Amino acid sequence: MASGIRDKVAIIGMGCSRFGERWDIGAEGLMVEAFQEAIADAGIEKKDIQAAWYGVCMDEINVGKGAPSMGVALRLPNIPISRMENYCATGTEAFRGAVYGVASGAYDICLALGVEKLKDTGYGGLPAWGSTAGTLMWQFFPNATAPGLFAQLASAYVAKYKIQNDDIKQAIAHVSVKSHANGALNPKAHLRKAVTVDQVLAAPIIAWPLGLFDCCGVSDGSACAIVTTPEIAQKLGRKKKDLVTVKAVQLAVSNGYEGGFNEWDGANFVTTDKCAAATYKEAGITNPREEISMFECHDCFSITELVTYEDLHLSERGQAWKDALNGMYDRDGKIPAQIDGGLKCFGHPIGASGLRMIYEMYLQLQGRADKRQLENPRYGLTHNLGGFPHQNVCAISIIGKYGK
Amino acid sequence: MIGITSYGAYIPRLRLDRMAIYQSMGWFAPALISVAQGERSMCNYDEDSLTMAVAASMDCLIGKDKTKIDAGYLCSTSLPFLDRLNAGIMATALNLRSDINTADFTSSQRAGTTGLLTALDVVKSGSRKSILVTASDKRQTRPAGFYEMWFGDGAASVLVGDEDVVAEFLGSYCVTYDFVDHYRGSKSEFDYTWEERWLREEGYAKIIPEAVNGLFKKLNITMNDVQKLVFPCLFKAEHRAIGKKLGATPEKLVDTMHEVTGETGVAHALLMLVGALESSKPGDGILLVGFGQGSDALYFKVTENIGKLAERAGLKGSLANKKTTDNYMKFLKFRDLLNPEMGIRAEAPVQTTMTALWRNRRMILGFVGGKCRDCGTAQYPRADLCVNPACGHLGTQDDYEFANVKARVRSFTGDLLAVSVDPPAIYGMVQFEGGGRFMMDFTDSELNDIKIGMPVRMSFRRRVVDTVRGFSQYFWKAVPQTDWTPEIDFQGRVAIVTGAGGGLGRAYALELGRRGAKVVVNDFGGARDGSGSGAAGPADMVVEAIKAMGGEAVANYDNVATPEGGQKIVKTALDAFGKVDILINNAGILRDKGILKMEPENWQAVLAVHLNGAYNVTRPAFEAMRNNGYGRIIMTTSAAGLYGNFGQTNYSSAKLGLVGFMNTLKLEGAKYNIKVNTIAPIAASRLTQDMMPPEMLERMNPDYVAGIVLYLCSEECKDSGSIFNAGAGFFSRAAILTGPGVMLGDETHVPTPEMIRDNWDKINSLEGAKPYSELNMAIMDFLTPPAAGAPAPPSGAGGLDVAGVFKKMPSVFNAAAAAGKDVTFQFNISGPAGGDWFVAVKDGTCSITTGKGANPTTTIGMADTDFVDLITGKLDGMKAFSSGKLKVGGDMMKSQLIGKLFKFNQ
Repeated sequence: MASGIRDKVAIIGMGCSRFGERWDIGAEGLMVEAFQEAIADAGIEKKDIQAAWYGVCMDEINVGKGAPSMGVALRLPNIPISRMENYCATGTEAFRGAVYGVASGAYDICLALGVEKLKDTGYGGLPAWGSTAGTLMWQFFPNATAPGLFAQLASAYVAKYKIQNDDIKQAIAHVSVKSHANGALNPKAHLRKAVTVDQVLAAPIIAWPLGLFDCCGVSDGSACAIVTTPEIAQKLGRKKKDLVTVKAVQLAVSNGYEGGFNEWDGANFVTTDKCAAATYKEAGITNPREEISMFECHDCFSITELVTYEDLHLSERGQAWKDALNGMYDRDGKIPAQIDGGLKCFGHPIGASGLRMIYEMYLQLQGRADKRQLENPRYGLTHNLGGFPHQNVCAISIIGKYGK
Repeated sequence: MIGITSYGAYIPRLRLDRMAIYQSMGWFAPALISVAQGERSMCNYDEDSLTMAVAASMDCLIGKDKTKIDAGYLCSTSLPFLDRLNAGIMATALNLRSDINTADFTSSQRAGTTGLLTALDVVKSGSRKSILVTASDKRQTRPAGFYEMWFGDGAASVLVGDEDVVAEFLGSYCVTYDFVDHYRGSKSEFDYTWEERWLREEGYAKIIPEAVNGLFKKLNITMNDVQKLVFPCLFKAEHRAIGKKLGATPEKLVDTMHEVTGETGVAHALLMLVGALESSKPGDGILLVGFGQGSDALYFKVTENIGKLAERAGLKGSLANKKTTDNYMKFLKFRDLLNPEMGIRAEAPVQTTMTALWRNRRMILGFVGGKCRDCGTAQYPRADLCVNPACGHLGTQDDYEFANVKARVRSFTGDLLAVSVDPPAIYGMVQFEGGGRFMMDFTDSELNDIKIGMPVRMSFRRRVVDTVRGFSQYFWKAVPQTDWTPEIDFQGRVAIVTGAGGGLGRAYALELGRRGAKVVVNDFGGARDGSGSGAAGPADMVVEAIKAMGGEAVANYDNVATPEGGQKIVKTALDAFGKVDILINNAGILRDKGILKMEPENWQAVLAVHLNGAYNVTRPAFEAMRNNGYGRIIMTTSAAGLYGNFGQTNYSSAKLGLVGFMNTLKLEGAKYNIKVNTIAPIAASRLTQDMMPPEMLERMNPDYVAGIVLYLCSEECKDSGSIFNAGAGFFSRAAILTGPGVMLGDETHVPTPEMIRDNWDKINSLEGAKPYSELNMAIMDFLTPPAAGAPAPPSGAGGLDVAGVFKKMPSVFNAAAAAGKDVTFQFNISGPAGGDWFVAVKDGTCSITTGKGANPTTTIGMADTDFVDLITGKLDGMKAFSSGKLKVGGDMMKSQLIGKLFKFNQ
């Protein structure tokens, strides 16, 4: 009987590059930036790292295939490096690999690093895949982009809960305004300007009903974590009470049900709902609404964040839009979301995002989040959603203080 | 017997207003004005001759067994592939059998009739029994030429065979000449065209009669045997002249559709043939002629089967389904004649993998998915493992065609980031009836017209053109049926219907349940006069019926006549469903007596159920609605209360009492979005029953009332405080109206009985009567009545009629603008207010006479109302002209003087 990984692995060092349109720096430089911070934080030497997991998604425009690009960039001493790619869950997948490497007992200290260099395409938005998106899928998949696929959550949500388009526009505007307010406090964020609801509502439409401010930025970035066992962490001089450990990491992947069977109503993520249940179980959380102190969810689009409130079992079904408008997820609300600014302000360098979210939770748990610091957080949850609402990969992790 | 066994047509939805071409390019080619009338059909950006061919074929195959087809011909000069059998793509898209013969007929405008003739000959020979012949063309033209004006896009399809023949083939005659009025070299995109005169006089006028007369001679028939003469011809006058020369009276000449589509190339002869078949009757002779490097003439006789064909869009339906655009730039871009900036994003690779296409040809081109033998789940794409999580069986799927399955929009968006020729890219999840769903592109629609739940139909479209590799890639798209209006649904609503065990209440409850509401079915189960109680039967049966439809309902057996009963009914809703959105006060009993026999108990019993009953249930329900900020309440009144009925003083009082209840309740509910309305169901009395025709009596059933009651209960209903009569399909509003009245007396003179008598007409008058929505507004109005003897406001604000326009003309004549002008205008205005007027302008003067004048410079023809709109500036002259509302004869340019000479709008 599997026992899960609650408190089996501790995070002893993390790093995060500055996110943004880093015209000055390539994927290699971004990796170095995040790694140097993490290894300094961990207080270990490069030779102490025994294995690494490397997350990068769009290798075609980025670092190319395989793992050597990371080995070379960081001059790692010929250790095993596995390159992970699983849509937007890529960063969390790298983290999961490193955590399992330690939890399995195979290694003492592992590295997880995610990086993405997106701003080398010459145009805005995520790169268009065209016929590189699979020889068959290309021949029937609609002429769609990420904003258009996610925007449909809004039309389905409005139809399902019989609310007005204006209500949902107001609610998701609030979601973005809240994230911008948080991002403005974060020196590593890409977008650091607060916006108003009026500005959000007046922005040009990208994919109806999503406007410009309903979409996250596109940026370059890298984030990284060094993990070990709680025992080794203490031997390395960490105090037990300050240790940040992994409570759970789970994934759920679509099987064609949403997009191919007749039931799903298009107004939520089937995978997130299931993944959240599995994650809470692994972490021993029975009442997430009361126990989760803060979270970073995959706010690729404001509407994604809104429906995710429900799929994470934090808002009741059909109530997320009201909860958002009531400030439940604001920095001073019941469960602050996207306290670092989220994808909204960090952009979404795909391989890096999952680790960037964990980085913020890690800082918050250690009381190192500066102006964004929340009072006494217990559990921090991170969530990624890769693919499209009707066919996707969901990853959720929870970290917290050791033994608590 | 062999001949045509079915037909179909497809005209693209888009039509280009020819005036738009002139408006953009008139500066360059002023002569275009002479041909800038009417519309031409135009392909959407994702349509070409192949997609139109598939659409016309699908139309043709409605009601036909396509497994019987053993050959398919595609006729066109604009096929996407020079070397890849286009008819083979068509056959795959239509999911025809693979053991059939297919061929492309091309290289001549005559290819359509040649393909048809070949099919007829093959069937006649006996080697094949059923052949699909489809003709389609989308010809490219250079901008600002006459042919851009004259050509259109379209497709037609006929099925040829020896079973259920609708038009028997009786013979053909062909001539072949290398007559070149135009040609398109194998390397060129556009036609190279010799002068029109050459085509007209040496081509059409000589070659068509030769073929026709040859056929007449061969079959030993004459024009008397022909009821419909079908031949395409670019020139209207020439078309008529040839018809006349051949001895055809004008009504035999089938219209060339120049004004509505333009000439659709190879498709045109067959398209006109489809039009002829649609309007023909058994026994009609049809002569079909194709022209191009010679001519084909074919003779058919329509059979009795013509009336037995399944319903289809055909040419009529296709013509009617249109969207006219005046965006000429769009026309150019859609035809790749304009090369705007598409951005780097558009450079994404678009290579089609041939091997993957071959493996999945039925899936991609034929839109064939799978249906699980074990669980019955239809799914797309077909997969090894069933998508139903409760099944998941391996290898259980049979082919299942989605192309003709109805579907509805589940979710959608309009995407401005996606690279599109016609942004935004619209796409969404589509749910098929009978199972299966798919995220797909939408086409032929505008974002604002699309709604969740809207039906869509499938259309084969060109998905991508790979210009680097010269490859067109095809797949299916959803076409939203935008003429749909959403059904009124009650998903998520909780409704209470009192007295719902039978009659009207039952009809309301069932329909609410069918449309998604959770229903509390209240019925006390008593007799018609209210005696007896508590029988569960009627309410339970209605609950079962709702559940059987997949709905949710609970029964309640309490009596509305007591406050406790009312409380319990509402509690049933709150306990079972958590709220109350809708209350229909319907419960009622009858105890009819004349006033002298109306004992207090009969009086009280009727008031207790109707009036007190509505109060007893409404009060707790109102509280629940107020808490939710939403409510719809229905009172039930009756004609007896509104107008009176013998023997029903008790019932009439109760029923009109409910109107008073509503009048005030609507005010109290307004700020909580609680709307209250009253229904007066029309029931047949004994008297009316005898006088009414039986078919009317049949309609006197509750279903004819349920519609309006459900509407009044819906979110869409914004009215509150109104009374509606409804029954047998008749609906009207009843209201308490108040006449304008009169103020009599003053501070020192109290109105006397004599004053009342002397002003009785004014007091009693209902002329100009109106309803009031509340007491204060009424009183305010009463105390400030119109001054006695004030003149009535003029009727119709300055209304000009046609005669008035001409009467007014001299007074608005602008003599300065007329200096040196010498023109005459003949106005021929049709319609009831119309007539003929002749206007002469010479040396700064004008004269207007009725009737027709000699040799007008310019003739103006218009309908009376359009003419008045034009003169008063409501109708734009250019638009009127381009839409055909304004017909100008003679010197067209001089017509533009009219606006300068006569200044109506100052």
